[in-house]
Amino acid sequence: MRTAVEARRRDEGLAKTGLLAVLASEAVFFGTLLTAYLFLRLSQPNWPLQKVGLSQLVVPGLNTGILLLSALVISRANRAIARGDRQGLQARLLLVVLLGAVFIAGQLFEFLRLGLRPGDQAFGGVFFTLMGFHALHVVAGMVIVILAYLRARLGDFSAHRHIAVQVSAWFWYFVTAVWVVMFLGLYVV
Amino acid sequence: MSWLMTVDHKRIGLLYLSTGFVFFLVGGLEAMLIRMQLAQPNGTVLNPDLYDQIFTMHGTTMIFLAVMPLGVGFANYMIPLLIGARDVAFPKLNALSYWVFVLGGILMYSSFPLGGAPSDGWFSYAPLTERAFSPGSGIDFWILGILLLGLSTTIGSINFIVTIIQLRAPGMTFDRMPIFVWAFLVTSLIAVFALPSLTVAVLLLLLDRQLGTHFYNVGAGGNALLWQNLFWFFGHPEVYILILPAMGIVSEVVPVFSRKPLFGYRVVAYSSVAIGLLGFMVWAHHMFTTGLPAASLAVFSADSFAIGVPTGVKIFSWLATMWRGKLRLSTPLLFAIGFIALFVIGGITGIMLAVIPIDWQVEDSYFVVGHLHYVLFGGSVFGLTAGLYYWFPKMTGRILSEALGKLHFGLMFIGMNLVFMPFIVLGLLGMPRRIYTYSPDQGWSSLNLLASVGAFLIAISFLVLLWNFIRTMRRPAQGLADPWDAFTLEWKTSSPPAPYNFKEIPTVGGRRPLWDEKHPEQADWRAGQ
Amino acid sequence: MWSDLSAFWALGWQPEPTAIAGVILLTLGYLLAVGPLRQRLGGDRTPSAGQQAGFHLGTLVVLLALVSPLDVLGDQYLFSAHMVQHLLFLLVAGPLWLQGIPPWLMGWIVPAGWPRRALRAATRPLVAFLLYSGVMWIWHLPGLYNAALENESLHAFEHLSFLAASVIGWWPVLGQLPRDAPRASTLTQMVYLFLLGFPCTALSALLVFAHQPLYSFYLTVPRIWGTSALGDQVLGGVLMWVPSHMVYLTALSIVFFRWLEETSAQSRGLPVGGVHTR
Repeated sequence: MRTAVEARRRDEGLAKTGLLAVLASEAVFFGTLLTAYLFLRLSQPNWPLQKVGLSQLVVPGLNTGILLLSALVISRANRAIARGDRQGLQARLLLVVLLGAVFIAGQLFEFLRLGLRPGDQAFGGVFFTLMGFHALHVVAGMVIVILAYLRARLGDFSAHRHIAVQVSAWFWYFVTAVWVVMFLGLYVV
Repeated sequence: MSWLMTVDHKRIGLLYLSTGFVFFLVGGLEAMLIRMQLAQPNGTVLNPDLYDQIFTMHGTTMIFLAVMPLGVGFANYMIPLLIGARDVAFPKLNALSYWVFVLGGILMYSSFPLGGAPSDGWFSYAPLTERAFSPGSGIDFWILGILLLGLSTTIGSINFIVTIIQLRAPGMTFDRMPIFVWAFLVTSLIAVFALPSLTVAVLLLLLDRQLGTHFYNVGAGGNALLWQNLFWFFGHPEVYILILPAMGIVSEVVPVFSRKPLFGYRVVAYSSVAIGLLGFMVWAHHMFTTGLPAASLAVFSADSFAIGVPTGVKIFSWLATMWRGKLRLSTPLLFAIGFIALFVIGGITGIMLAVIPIDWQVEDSYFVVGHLHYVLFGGSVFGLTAGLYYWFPKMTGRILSEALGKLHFGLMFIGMNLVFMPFIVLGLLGMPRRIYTYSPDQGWSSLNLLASVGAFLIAISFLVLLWNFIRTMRRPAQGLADPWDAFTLEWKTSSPPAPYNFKEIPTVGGRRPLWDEKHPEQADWRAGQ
Repeated sequence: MWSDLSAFWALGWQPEPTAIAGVILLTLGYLLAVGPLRQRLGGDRTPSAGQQAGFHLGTLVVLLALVSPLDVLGDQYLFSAHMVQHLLFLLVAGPLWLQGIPPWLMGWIVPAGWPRRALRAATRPLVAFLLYSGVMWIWHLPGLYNAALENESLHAFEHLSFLAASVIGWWPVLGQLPRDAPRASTLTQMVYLFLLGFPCTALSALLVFAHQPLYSFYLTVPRIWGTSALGDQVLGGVLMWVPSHMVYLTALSIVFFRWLEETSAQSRGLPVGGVHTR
């Protein structure tokens, strides 16, 4: 007979492996998008379009900072519940959602500011697609965190049982890491 | 209905198998239409536009809606049984992946009445598929269908990866796992890494078509070859997704019907992994005629040769298993042997295509069509059929008629060679693929007629199967747990298994756990396996 | 072909003082450490002859890469030759060195305290992957690549970073501090080696398929042996593509069989056959 602890550990193992597989798939997805962008960029003898207004790194730089901060916050949230601090967990999860919303707002602002449209030459489409899919993943991450927050309110988590928080954190780290790579690829390089 | 809400892997497996089989018949009908059109020169069965839709949907259906789901169906039903588990890791996601697949298939086929099916071939090359050249909504249906099918496969693959990694019975190390499970683990891993490329490719196409982006428009900074690279980076691993489960089935059937353990288990397991890995390194061999730099041609050609090695390893292993074995030439083994023979032919034509000068002559001709059908029909379909006859007793408690099964095999084997060997020759004679008709003075007429006759034979063979199925199901179930005196855990359960599969999860001590139980004095672990 | 070969040797050797000094120190240091000084350093066993030979081979390869005509070829004429040099650093030097340094010697080289902690952090699979791939990619950015060819100290730094990246990158598979900076599990090693090929493929694909030369430095050098700047770049990409993959895949294959044997050995203790209540 399997004990409750063994059963829970087995289920947590399933969740972790499942998430790893999902993140692997998503990593290849973003990697492919980035490669497509690089492919287009390299196959054009002149790619002047990337310099359209991107010399101002202020807004995207700020956004990067916000996302990195939110990753820190969610790591703190994870540590809070590992200590049994339910209040700390809830507060920090909420903060993560807030920061995520600020990031999305920043992305919208940036896109409008640049005045690019999907139909403008290849770069407009590239920018729109890469940033758009990333933003979608941020929104998905926010939904996951909100769900975790609601479950935290209902008292679902304890110091020994909070796999959903860990999973949310990993997803959020992934989204942050993808942004850093994209930021470097689209703005810096 | 309980079937709509089921999360039992066995029922979901049956749903996949039956839906996949229905789509297989639809794809087969499409093939019959093509063969009727091409049986004679200046054919008038289909007009050119309809012909384009039919061959596009034939390819799309067979690959995405038939062969893949049939493989998934067997995996769903058998893998938890083979590894000694009660179900897959995420049963509800399992059900979800099936229904998303159904939705995808329906969406694709609804294109027919709603403005026309996609008609740009199953790999939909840009810029032909851009709005400017394909203004109808067929391509959009295709894209949406592909997105849904990709989602279904991704969910399913993740499910199987987690299941196989985490839920094996105690004692079943990776070194003792049935080869079908190995094959499907690799298949699922391939899918996870390859599908995103297809998703990106079709998403960018959708954006081009609907939002006016210019990913594939050369005039506006896009690149037509981008489509081909993205598609084939998925497309080549995809063919290993299609063949590995069938190879896995052959690796289960051959030992049982040779009364011998599989020869070279570790190397066969390794070859599945090697095929999976190397499969990602050869995609541009579908693009040899696109003007790639010569250096890259050499790379992809060399890698394409390399991939023949692990496949050859498997062939030798199967042959070595049968050598000096006590062969029972029952239907499952016949189809497995058919697989081996036909896949070797397909593989040889594949190696020929890896030779650049040959490829430059026969690319986009019927030679390629012949090659792909030898490996996909002679390979995947024969392998899956072997699985059907092998596992039918486990799923239904009844054994399909041996006499009708042998008739099915004979007709299908002869029919298949009558269709696809002429294709090889036609390709060498210069007949391009996807043409809707040809003129009588080309010299292609008799071979085409022969091929159409062969297609008819294949169709009859499937009618034989259907008759066999109906007749067998009408009989009462005998419920034999282990009619083949087999080796692996699924034969330990009742036929069909109880919802919980095993009353008690067994502990496994070797690669043939059931054999060890039945013949303890000859158990594998005694021999140090 | 023979005229090309003699032309190759005619490029001459580059007896770089710092490179030669470094190699001598390394070789002497190693010989002393596994020989007379072994007991003083707390070593229990001398590495096998094969392991020692491997270490010296690694050093020899680095030496040859830095002083042979290959160096001249790469620094002054051909992108592809420069690629070979870098590949020798990344794919050959690190693994050969690692396998030849037994744990007790590694423990002496990397003292306890922050160095070992830093090494442990750097050699965790994800970090090692990022560092290895990152170093590879960053030096291929046109700005940095050109700069390294024009500035000697930057070039030396580039080579050192490749050697360091090689050691760190191969550590999860070949690392030699089992307690303080352990290797990854065999399973993780396989996933790691598989994924290691991806950034490499992406980069080499970009090089092979680019329509124009990416590194302006090679537009200023004299063309030799009938190559064009673009053709040379493509060749470099091909050299990066195939040999790298062969190395990663071979390593992966070896680890695969090691892993199968491990899983098999683990389970020999369990009761066989029959039914076990769960």
